[in-house]
Amino acid sequence: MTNNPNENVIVRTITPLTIRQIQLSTESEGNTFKIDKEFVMNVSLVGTVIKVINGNTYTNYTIDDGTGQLKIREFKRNKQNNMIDQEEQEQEQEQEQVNEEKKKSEQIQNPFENKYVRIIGNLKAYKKQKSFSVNKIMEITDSNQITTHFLEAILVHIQRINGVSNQGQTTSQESQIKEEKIEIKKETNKNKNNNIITQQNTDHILGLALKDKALRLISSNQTSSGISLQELSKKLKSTEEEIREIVDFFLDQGQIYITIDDEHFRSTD
Amino acid sequence: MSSATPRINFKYLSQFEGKTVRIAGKVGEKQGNNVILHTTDNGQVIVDRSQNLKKSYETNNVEVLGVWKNNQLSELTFFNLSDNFDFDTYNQMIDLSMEHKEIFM
Repeated sequence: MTNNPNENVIVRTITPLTIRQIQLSTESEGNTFKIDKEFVMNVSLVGTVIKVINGNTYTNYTIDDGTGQLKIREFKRNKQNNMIDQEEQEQEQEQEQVNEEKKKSEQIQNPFENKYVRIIGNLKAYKKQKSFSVNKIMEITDSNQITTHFLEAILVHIQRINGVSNQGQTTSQESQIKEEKIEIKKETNKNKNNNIITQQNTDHILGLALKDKALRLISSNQTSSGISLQELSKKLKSTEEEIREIVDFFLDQGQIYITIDDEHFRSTD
Repeated sequence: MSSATPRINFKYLSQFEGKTVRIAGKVGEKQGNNVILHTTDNGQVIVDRSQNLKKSYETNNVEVLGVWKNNQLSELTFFNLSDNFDFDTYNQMIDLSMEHKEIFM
């Protein structure tokens, strides 16, 4: 981990990934990994559980998300709901696994087996290998979460390879984000009992795409008076209120400035 | 490294002859050991279920994982999908995944 506090904040966010990305990740300092040039630790995955091995202190899952397979581990909690000490249990790991594989194969089927699940966990290095430790595993009941997860993974990937950070700041290079192709309908779930997380994720992706479009329009305007709030609102097909929120964000970040009045803006680049 | 089983729809089938893929859609009529799957992009795929007959589809929408060969999908396994599954958004996701194969295959 570096001394840069901003990078510490980034590592703590949850990054939606595919297993393929995890397979391609490179180990970096502080037991973390880099994917698309960014430090990654907390990860969300969506896939199907194809194998379960139960141990006394942990459960091993093999997950397949269509891009690859990954073995992950969920440590069980003791009676005080504390995570059983990882080091303590890993000392017994090898001996347990051989015995348990024979016994546990006849156990009652794990409820997640052959089902789609969402996993939140930590990706770290352990004995020079990639290790994925599960914080939460949940069965997916609204299948639109599968779609949303992969859309999020694509969006984050595009933003990172084009140099847009989690805070929505661009580098000096021109952004080539293809967000105009991510036309996610707001009524993705037509059922009234929609999963709130799915809708929130969809709105979040749309919000990020709109910010990036606004910044590009402001940056591309070369007139001395800059581009107006009304013009932005018209071109982005959004209300002036929504555009005002976006320009206020960029003003605070120092990426744009006011010109002839507080409704005209130019990029600081 | 395990090989990928990419999610595709009807329009991409020709690119995956002989490959193991995932195709989602609405369950249609049965024809012996076969089932017609109406794909998310309005195509029709014949699914040969002879290797997986013991398990029945439990929902109207399913994702079938199988080998695409000779105009037929030989089912290896399947996953039930919820009835509110949005086909249009799923198709858009597939299109984008094809543009960004580097994180999918």
